[in-house]
Amino acid sequence: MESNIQHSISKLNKIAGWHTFAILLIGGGIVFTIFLPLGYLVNSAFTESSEFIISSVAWSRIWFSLWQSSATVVLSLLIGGGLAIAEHTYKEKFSRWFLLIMTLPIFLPGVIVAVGFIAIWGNAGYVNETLQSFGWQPIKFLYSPAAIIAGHCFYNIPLAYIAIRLRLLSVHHNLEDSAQVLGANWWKIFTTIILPRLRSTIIGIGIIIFLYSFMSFALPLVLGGIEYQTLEVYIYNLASQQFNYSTAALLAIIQLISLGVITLLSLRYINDVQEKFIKHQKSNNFASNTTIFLFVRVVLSILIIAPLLATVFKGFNGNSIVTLAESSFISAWIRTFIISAVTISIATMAGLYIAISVPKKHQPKILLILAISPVTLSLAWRLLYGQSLFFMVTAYITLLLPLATYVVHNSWQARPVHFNETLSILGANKFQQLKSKARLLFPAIAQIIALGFAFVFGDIAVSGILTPYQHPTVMSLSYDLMGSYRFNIAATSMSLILGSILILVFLTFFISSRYDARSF
Amino acid sequence: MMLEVSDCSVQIQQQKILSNISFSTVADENLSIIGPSGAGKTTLLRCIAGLQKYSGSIIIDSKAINELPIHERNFGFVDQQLNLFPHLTIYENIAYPLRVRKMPKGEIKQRVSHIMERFNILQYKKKLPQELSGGEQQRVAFARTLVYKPRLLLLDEPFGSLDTMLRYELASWLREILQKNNTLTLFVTHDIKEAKFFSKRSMVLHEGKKIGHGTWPALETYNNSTIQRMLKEPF
Repeated sequence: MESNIQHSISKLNKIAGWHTFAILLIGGGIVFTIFLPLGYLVNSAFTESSEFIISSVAWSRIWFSLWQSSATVVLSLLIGGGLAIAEHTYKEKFSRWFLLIMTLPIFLPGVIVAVGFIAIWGNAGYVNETLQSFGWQPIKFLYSPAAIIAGHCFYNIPLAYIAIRLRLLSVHHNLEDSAQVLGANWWKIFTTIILPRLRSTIIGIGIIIFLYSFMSFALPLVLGGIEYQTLEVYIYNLASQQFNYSTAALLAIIQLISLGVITLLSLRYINDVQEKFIKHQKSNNFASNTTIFLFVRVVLSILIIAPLLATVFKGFNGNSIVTLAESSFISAWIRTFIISAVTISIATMAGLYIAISVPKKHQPKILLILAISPVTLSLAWRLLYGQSLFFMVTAYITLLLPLATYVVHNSWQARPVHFNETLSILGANKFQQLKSKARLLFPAIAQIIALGFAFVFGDIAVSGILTPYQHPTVMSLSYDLMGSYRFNIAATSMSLILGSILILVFLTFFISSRYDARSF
Repeated sequence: MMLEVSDCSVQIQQQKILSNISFSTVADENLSIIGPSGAGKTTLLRCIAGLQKYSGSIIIDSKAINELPIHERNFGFVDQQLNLFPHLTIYENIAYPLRVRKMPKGEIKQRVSHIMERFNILQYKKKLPQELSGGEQQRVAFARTLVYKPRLLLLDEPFGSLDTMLRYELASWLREILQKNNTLTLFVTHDIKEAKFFSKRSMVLHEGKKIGHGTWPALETYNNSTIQRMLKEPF
């Protein structure tokens, strides 16, 4: 009896010791990766800055960032959300191929999309070449606010569509039928039944789109030119080209505080979406297939795929491939792959630990890290720690961690009731329990791996500030090629990166589908 | 008040769900529609409500309603899921059909309060549907349907999710109210006891076809083995 008690106490001590170690590790990690650098950033902003008053140029950048983000929110919700609501209202059958295409932008780096836009709309792009062949004037679309907003809509129209369509799929149409029988016409049903049930989703996704467009870096950097810079691009230029760190730090702090407040607001709505109406979830099963919706889906799909195809067609010619093969492209690719693998492994493990061990009510707080833009974080790290591959990897881990935690958290919360207890009762030992949990969470882990590859392979913000010159990532190398006016070689390089990302994403999901929980 | 259904048929993807169903019913008989799962009972009610496409004609008080939009039919429909609006309070749920009919606010308040009092749910008026028990939600669903005095009430196994005790308690309470209001009612169930308790006449559906129609004593004399088995055995 006594030995049993002693055994239990030593077991508890072991568990407590492990948890203390993990909490200290994560806590220490957060202090070194976030609090210290941000504290240093604040210090740089307020002690080193002699020009405390923000210049009119900075104000114009802030104003431009605000209005282009707002315009993106409105357009994305109107087009993407509008299509989702229209499909639901007219009981249109849910299309998996369309969802797949709409999901594609999530994995596409901003630079590649921007290159695609240049390949279509640039002076030597397909549209203007065609117009000029007929003797018409070329269209000046690039390097304008319209180009930046179009680029942001490329990502966010699909996002709004997916979020609202999936929300509507889980809310059964019976309520609308019921309202109709009770005497409500279409407009009344829309305003009193559909919109109120979508309110949280619309506000939540609106805030996410705003944050995305405000913090977006690569697209405005390439598509905005010198005249139309967002705040994020302006901070980057101040830090990396003008070496005006104090003003960059001050603007980064202002941006961080504003976006932090907005992120806090969005967390409220993200929770709201998860909790509300949970008892009324039931999948709709509509059969209607209308030509007009098919037409709209095809048009949107073309708009998404066209920039990618344009990049590939512009890039693929023999000379460019030979030039690339002779450059440091392959070593940069291998370096990026290793960086991605390390980033993903550590972020996934930390995300798993936080999602499973940290109490549910504290978990959304980690999403607050999303308010720290890659440029702000990298700037803070460069000021405090300097440039190095190690800090670049750590920055990637810090930025991927909130997403990893959120994805695992959602998957873990959806586990069968009494999952852990059932495994114990059925006689599974610790290792078997761990294996079962891993298989349950495999689709979530696959999502993190896919997003991780897309994020690291597509990044130029973190690598642009933190990468030592002699160790470029594959994307920073390709971006430099664009800067040196070798567009075709850059397009070839981007095509290869795009291919790498798509293959890695496909492989991840393919392997995940073979080993996911349904194949138990 | 009289409902006449002639040659009502439904076909979905080459499959006949309903085949030439014809019947008529009047207010005081609370016609029940019985049959096993997949017999087409719910589909028939959905056709009458206008929620399902069909061929044939539906006439109410000598007027065909085939082309009438659903929201202008002035019917009531209560099914097992109840479909209370989760984002509206109990008061707002019951006031909903009066509001969409643009009734004056004073009248809405008076009618809603009156029916809530009558259904003994006044104390829940500020609560949300999910905060109520199954039986209470059921009463709210009936109050919401009866508050605007529909000319035809369609009930699709409305007590299906309740336990036996509560089911008969609510059924007898509802029968009393419908008798007082003299409401034309169609009642779908697979529970023979419930059907006998609620209605004077019944129609039997099997595999989308009408195989019997009449009073309970008349049905018992039908020379049809399927009907006899249905009347004896639970589905």
